[in-house]
Amino acid sequence: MCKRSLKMPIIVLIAVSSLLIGQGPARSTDHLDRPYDWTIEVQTQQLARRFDYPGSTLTSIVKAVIRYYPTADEGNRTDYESIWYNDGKALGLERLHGMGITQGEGVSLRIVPKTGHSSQQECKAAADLILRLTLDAYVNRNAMVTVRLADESFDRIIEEMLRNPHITRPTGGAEDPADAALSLFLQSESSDRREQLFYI
Amino acid sequence: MRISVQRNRRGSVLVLGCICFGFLALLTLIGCSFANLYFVCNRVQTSADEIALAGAHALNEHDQIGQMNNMIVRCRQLVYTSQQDYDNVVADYPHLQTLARELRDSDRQSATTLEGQRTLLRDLAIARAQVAMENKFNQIKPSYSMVLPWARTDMSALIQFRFGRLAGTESNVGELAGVSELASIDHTRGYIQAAAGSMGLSRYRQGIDAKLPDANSDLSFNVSSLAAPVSATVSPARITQAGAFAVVLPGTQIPSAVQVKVTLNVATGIGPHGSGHIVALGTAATTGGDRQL
Repeated sequence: MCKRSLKMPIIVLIAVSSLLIGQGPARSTDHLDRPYDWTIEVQTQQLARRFDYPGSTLTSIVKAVIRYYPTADEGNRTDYESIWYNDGKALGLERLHGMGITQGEGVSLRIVPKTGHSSQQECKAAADLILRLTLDAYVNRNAMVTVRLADESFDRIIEEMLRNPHITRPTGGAEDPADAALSLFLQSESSDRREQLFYI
Repeated sequence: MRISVQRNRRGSVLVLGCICFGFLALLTLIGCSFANLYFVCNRVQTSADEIALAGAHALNEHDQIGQMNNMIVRCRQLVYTSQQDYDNVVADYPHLQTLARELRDSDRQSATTLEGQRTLLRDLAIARAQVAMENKFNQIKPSYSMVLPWARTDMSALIQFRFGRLAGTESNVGELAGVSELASIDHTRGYIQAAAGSMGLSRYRQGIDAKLPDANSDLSFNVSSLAAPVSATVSPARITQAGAFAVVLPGTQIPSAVQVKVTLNVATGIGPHGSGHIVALGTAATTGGDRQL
């Protein structure tokens, strides 16, 4: 009598457990990998033979083309703006569309060099772009969740950012500014390098 | 008696023939001299055109004027949007005020730097064009020197060259309409030349200082006249009609056209001495702007 009454509940328990084990891991990986709804992608390119005349100080022109797209739909890119830089300082801007990112949603910034390798001027421009686009996102009521940088330029961009007297690394102690204006989370594309910086 | 009269008649025909021949030769010579003067007039005009073209070509080397115009307009949009961000941040995110102010001040500094570079380029372009015109003149001048018993010509120094633009040519920069408030300001203040027809592009007017409103009205954004590309075709440096030339005041916009006056001194050496000048005016416009940055 006892064996017959226990057999069915055990079978049901095993069936339900197998369903739960099959479903769980896939869902949790998606959530952890992409905690942002939108991606702002920046492509940098150093331009040659611009303003090439004697006495010119505009000798290191970098063009940054900025687009955004829903992270789940990479093909649906919208042109946002282009910014031109000279020696790391913004020189000109051409906005093509307003920032059509849904307010309140998380954003990731991704900076890639067009040629696959960033020049030093592109790294300087990237340092400014991170601050500038983070500010744009905040004004549009979006949180900048993470900044992704190419592996080959990760260290150089961090170095350029740290030249800004307002930017500092956390020290891991009580000295870390609790009232920093911005907290920036940077990671390399391969995700093996991570850095947190503060703008104070 | 009869024989002596016949001898006198044969002798007078020969002399008459020589006199007539000499007279015809003289007429031919005078005719050739006038014809030569006519051709020299045309040649002087051609030379004036060549000198103007050399100067015009040197004004916009490697599309420097075109690039400068494009960047000035984009710098203006940069400063405007930075100010917008700063104003928004002050109201809604005061803890980000330092960052917004840093970016805005940096962008304002870029505008000042760019204006300095524009004036440098302007002076450089003018100097370059002057050198090109003088070199061309010195190359052409020796070919005009002629000393003959009946005529003498020589080309004096370039009397005058002027820098300007082509009347009716606006800037090469297409309207930036991505920031609607700024686009509205541009139209209200008359900074935009509306497109002619449905296929054209609206462009920023030439000779304007496209000031920004309010806090950044101290910055200058000077836009110069330059032919815009048409269907990706850049207009080459070219000769134009003298009437199409408009002077650009020194110290203002970068010129995109030149006009030169060349004088040839002419004198005659036979009979009553006479002298005069042949004057030619050459006008040329520089290479048009290339595609946007």
